[in-house]
Amino acid sequence: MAAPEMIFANDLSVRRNGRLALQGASFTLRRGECVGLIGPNGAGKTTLLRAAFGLDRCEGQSSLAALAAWERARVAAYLPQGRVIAWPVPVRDLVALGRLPYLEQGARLPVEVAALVDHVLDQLDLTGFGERDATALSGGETARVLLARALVQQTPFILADEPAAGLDPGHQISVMRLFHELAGQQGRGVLVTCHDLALAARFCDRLIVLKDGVLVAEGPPEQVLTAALLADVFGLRARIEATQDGLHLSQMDVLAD
Amino acid sequence: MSARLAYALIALVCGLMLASLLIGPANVPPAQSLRALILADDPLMALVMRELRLPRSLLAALIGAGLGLSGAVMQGYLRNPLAEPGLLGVSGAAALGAVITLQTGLASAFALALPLAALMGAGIAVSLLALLAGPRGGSLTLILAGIGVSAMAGAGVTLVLNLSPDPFAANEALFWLMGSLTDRSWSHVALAAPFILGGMALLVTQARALDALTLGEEAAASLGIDLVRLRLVVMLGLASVVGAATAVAGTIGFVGLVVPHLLRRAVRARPAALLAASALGGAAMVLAADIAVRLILPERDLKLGVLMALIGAPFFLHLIFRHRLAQS
Repeated sequence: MAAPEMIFANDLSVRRNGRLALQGASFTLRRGECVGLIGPNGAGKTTLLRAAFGLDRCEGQSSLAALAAWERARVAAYLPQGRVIAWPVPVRDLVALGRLPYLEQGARLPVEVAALVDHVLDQLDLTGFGERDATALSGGETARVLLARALVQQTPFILADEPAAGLDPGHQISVMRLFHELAGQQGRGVLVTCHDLALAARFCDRLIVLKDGVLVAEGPPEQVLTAALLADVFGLRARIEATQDGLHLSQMDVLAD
Repeated sequence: MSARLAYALIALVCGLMLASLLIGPANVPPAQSLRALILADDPLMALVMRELRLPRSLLAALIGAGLGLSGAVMQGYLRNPLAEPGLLGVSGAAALGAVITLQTGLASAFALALPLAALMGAGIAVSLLALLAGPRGGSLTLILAGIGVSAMAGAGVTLVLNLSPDPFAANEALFWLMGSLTDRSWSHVALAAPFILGGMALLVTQARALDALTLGEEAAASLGIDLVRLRLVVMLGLASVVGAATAVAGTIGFVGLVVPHLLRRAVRARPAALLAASALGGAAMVLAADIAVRLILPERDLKLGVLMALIGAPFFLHLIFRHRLAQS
């Protein structure tokens, strides 16, 4: 099966407890672009990711949801927001779970996987963590180990729900830069939710903005992140400047209602 | 599972199997017993070996393996080290079926009435679970349904004992509930083996799904694991193993809870690797307990289930204590 060049969601709606948690959202994600999904708490970011991936029942079409589960696992990796590691397995084994979609029933992991796992651990500043107990890590280390699992899956598309939350500032930047590079250098398509608007502005090629379950804006950061939008969607007063490092955004204060 | 652990467990099971064949009230020297088993040169001893000890040992190994594996599956599926096969209420429902046949006298009228009724109880429990938990829904719904079924079956057993007009029948039922392998024959093996082996074969197909669940249900689903199918297989496989084990041996608790615990560190906590290890460990544990029952109080018919908890519980507490020490 040839991997698709793009994935799309068309007019996705999710009804939850009689309320529309997502109303007719559509997007496309091409290989080679890093798209940020932003919006305030409860705007429907996770709902959109899950629906687009096919984890929840929804109305509308999604190219990923239309695939068989095992096929989808080779096209796109999904990194959930909830960081679950149930058993004290070695980090190396946990990360290698990302190779499950390529494994025949009952087969053992091929030897190359060990090298791949080491490579990804190095990439995420986790060198030497392979034999550590995966349940005895700090919050930030846990986040990066789980991200490593999704990267080891080596899919053309990655949907990541708040991968940078809970990381220290340095690691937040490196994780977002990594996503940027995965898109720009390796030609993967990345859709990532992020609460740090400054990081999203700097490392995403395109932003999708959700408010109350509705997709309200989409486009390059410098077009989307305007004072009017920040005020309307986030209730924020911010200063926005174009610099040589990309868009620079300083959040000044919340606006009174 | 590492090769070393596998060899050690296999050797342990084989050793205990041999001991189980050689130890009994007949008190015949080991060499003579084995000769009788293989060559049948001593008709009486051959009868003892072939018709009493061999089926009993096989059943102990089979039931232990089934319960150990079921425990590992249950803990992996729920991602909880406190889970055990009894949670689904299948053993309770099987016990209810058995107790009813004992009370009505059906059990003495026809030899296999009791295990068959117990299997029927297990079957009803599974249908009820499937109905209550529905085709969709997560592991939590299944467990809550299981707790409901378990409570209902427990109340049923108590009701039967409560209303029993015949104290002897009630006594018999009570003893049966304690679990035992005494006087089990080839017909018991023939009845239980297909269900236990079939159920085990079904459960091991979900090894990679259990591995993936280490990352939680969302991530497992994203890796291509079919959670609906997993739940169905866990339910059917577990019911088949636990129902059949309860039908022929009564309720033998603790194996499914403790064995995966004992072996978890040895397999580095990997849920899939824990399956085979727990099956072997469970077989060893039930074989050992069944030998102990015969050695400790040979003429009093000490019940297997009682001994298991009596020895198992302190051992388990010791383990937890040691684990806590290691952590601090």
